[in-house]
Amino acid sequence: MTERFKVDLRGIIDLAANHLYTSPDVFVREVIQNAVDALTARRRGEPDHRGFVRLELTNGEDDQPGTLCVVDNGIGLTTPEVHEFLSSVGGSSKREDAEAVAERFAEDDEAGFLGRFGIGLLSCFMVADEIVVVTKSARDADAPPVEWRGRADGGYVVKELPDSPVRPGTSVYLTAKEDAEEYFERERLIELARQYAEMLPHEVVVAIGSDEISVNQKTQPWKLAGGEEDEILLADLCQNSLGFKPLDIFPIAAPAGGVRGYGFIRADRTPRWGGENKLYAHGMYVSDHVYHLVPNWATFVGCILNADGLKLTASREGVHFDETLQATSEQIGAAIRERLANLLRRDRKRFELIMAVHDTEIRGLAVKDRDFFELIIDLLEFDTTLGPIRFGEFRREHDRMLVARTAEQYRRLTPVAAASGLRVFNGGYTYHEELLCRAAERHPELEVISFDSADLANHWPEPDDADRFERLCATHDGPIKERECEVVVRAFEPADVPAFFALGLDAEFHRQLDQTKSIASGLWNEVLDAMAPRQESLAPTRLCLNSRSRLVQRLATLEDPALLRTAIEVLYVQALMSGHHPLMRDELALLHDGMERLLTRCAATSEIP
Amino acid sequence: MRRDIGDPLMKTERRDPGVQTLLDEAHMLPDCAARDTLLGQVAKSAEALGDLDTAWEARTAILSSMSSCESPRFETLFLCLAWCLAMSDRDPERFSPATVLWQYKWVATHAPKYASVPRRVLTRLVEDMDERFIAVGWGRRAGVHKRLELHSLTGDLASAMAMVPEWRATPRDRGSDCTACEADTLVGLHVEAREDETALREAKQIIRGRLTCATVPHSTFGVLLPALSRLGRHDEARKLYQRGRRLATTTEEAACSLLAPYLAYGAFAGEIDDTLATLRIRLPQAVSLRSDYERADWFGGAFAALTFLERSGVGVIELTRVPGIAEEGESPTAQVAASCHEIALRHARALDARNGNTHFTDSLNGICDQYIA
Repeated sequence: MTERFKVDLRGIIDLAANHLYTSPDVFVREVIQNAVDALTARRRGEPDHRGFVRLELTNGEDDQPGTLCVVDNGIGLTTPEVHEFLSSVGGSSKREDAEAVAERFAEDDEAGFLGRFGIGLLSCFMVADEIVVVTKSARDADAPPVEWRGRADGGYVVKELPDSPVRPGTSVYLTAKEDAEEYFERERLIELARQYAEMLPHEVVVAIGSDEISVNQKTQPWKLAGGEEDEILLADLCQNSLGFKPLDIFPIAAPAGGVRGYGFIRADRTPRWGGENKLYAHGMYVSDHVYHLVPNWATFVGCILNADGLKLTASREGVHFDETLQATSEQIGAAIRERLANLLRRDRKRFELIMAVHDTEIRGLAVKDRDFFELIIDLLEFDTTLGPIRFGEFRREHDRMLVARTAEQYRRLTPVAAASGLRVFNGGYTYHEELLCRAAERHPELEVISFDSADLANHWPEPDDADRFERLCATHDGPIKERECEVVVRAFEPADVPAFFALGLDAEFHRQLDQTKSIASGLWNEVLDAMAPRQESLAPTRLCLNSRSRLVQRLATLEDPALLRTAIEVLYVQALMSGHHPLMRDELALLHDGMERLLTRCAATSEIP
Repeated sequence: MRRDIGDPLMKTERRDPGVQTLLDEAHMLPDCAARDTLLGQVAKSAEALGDLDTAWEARTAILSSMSSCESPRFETLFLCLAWCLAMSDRDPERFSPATVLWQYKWVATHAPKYASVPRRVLTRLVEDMDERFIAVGWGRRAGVHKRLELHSLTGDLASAMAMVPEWRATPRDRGSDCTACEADTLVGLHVEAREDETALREAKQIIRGRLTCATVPHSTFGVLLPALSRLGRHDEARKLYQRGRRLATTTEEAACSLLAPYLAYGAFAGEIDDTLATLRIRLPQAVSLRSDYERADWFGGAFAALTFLERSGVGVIELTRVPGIAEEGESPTAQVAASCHEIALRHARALDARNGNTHFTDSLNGICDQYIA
């Protein structure tokens, strides 16, 4: 036998009223939304009907709670409709099957209705213990006005008011409950009404005593054509709504989700989570942060958008993550790319202004989008050891490009590579390596070579008088040997650099593994060992002593093998430190011991070696 | 706890301005490899300056962004987790162990993909993860899941299937994987066991779009393609192919490895243009995959795709230069297929040697027949 679920009505109302929404603020939206739906319904039969929504606030006297009355001159309800729409939770409860509901929702979307589940009014229980609705149908002139009183415990009373001179439309009365008085304060109510309703096509007024404050914008921005005058309006709107003066304004259309509006390029860099985009649905505010709507690479753009075809969540504070949202997001992304491409072609000055602020983000876009990459790559500037250069300028004159793949490698290479006249690109900045690799794919005539400090050591010649330095390269015990570091002598510039620690990228990863292993547990030592690149596949790690350095030349003349060894060990640690390599414990000990030995010796002989 | 000067765990009071600049720059970026690189620099620089708190912040930030990464980012994941665990073992009050335990599950999933990690170490790794979960008051469900997954990833399907009842019976807790990922695991097991109808039943909520996460449904749809094909439900397969492939290619950090099943099925189902486009764009990227599992899987999928293409009359394909596989311009399809097969076989054999079975080489041998009942 099929049993029926038992529903605790009080629990359901509590769930809808107190747990579905992120804040009690939304009750303002819900009452306005119901009013707007009523106006939309009335306009179906009376296209010329001039609708209004009024939020009439009466402040309580002598500590009495304030009262809000939300009045509309929309379609109104008959007694049976009151029972159907105000007294059933969940719009689908009276439908036979889900498809019929879906069909109705689709029709509602097309018609511009905002409400859906019949739960919006319940949000008022977040701020009031009782909801009173007085309504009269515009469709049935003979139908009497009806009063509905609903309580948070699920009970309601319906009363017909045959003698009452009520005009067609609906009034919702709410009296602030304890701890909810703040929502009935003048400034708060105006702020909330403006937030939710400013873009609605119907007039929405907050009336407080003799004050009448219209909260609507004169124009919905997505309906602006975007001419010169509109640009001023839009820039003001951006400043007021998104909080910045835009560097550029452009229209966005994403037909997949029925989205139209404008994009605004930010005047400063915004953290990845900080960017706001305002989304409205049929003119009603939805959220400042709709996930997956604007692609997450587009942090440099703020948007004000209206959607007629996106599926909102039950709380209407977000959008369902579905294929429509994905397709919409792609189309918004395409609109942003297209705008940048147009600026690049037609308004280079403005593009460079944007680039000056959003360099990283725009490089990121070039990595993701091939067409945009083609447009921009030649103009992009890259840091090299011989100074910055645009890619286009470089590729026209060279067929070979050396790229340091990390900023650390680049930093280590820079002084010595520059002194040797070698131009090495910094691929370590954000997106630079990806761009250079893609550029190499696009220009097969240009050979891109990954270049690290081990390659630099290979590039330097051995000195002509190599025999003179032979003793410096003797086998060393301790950390130098344990790290399989080979001591070699090379001739390189600048001559005031006595030693250079040449560590390839893979070997650098190996060194990091070693460092982590030195603090990790036995199990993790085994895991990291298994991950390590095979030692035989690594470029040799080298301590390159500079034969042009006076210090090295002098060391080559030392007779005392112990002193020579100490000097080389100190140079090893010094080279590590110059290369900004974090020192391991044994290396630090080597430095301490070496310095101690040298100073002791110095003190004994009163002569600095 | 009192710390003396020279103690590596001593707190630094001020952050170095250079490190702060790098950290600010990283926080400006969305989750991506570039952000990880920057955070890696922050961690190393901070550590060199003895600022362990910033190094911890940077490394935990790297870990958090790696939910759906692929190699070579795995290696960064391993390194960061090892460092963070070591730190929290030393000073759990300052470096909370619970901060990085969620990511331990990802490491447990990815470690078996490297043939160089011995089976014994993998078992111990899952045990260690389980123990740490219990120690912070989380439950056992994730541990059971990872043990099951380990059996599956090391080619022992029977043992993995045998653990399903225990897994289902273990209560969910805050350390459990999301329901979408769990359903995805079950679907994968059933497809591998050729229990195609059961797999589709398990996948029902995913197909309807009611279970989603960073990698679901696209990973699941790819797995289901052979099952639907074998059942003769080609229209459904084609729909899932289109939905899944689109998701797999448009995800922000579009993982190359997720595309392998779409590549093979696309060519099988006659989606020639899609397949050629994927090969052209992704083959050069696939070369940078480092784990044996991903390489066996991706190049196995590419081999199947190229074989189907050749059977459809595509004798030559145009590719950008991929060292060891293709030169710039047109290459004979059969030749590229053979190169891909050679790579896949090499890694399948390495995995089988570690696992002590022939699972991966058998799968590769039957890869072109997987769509036939």
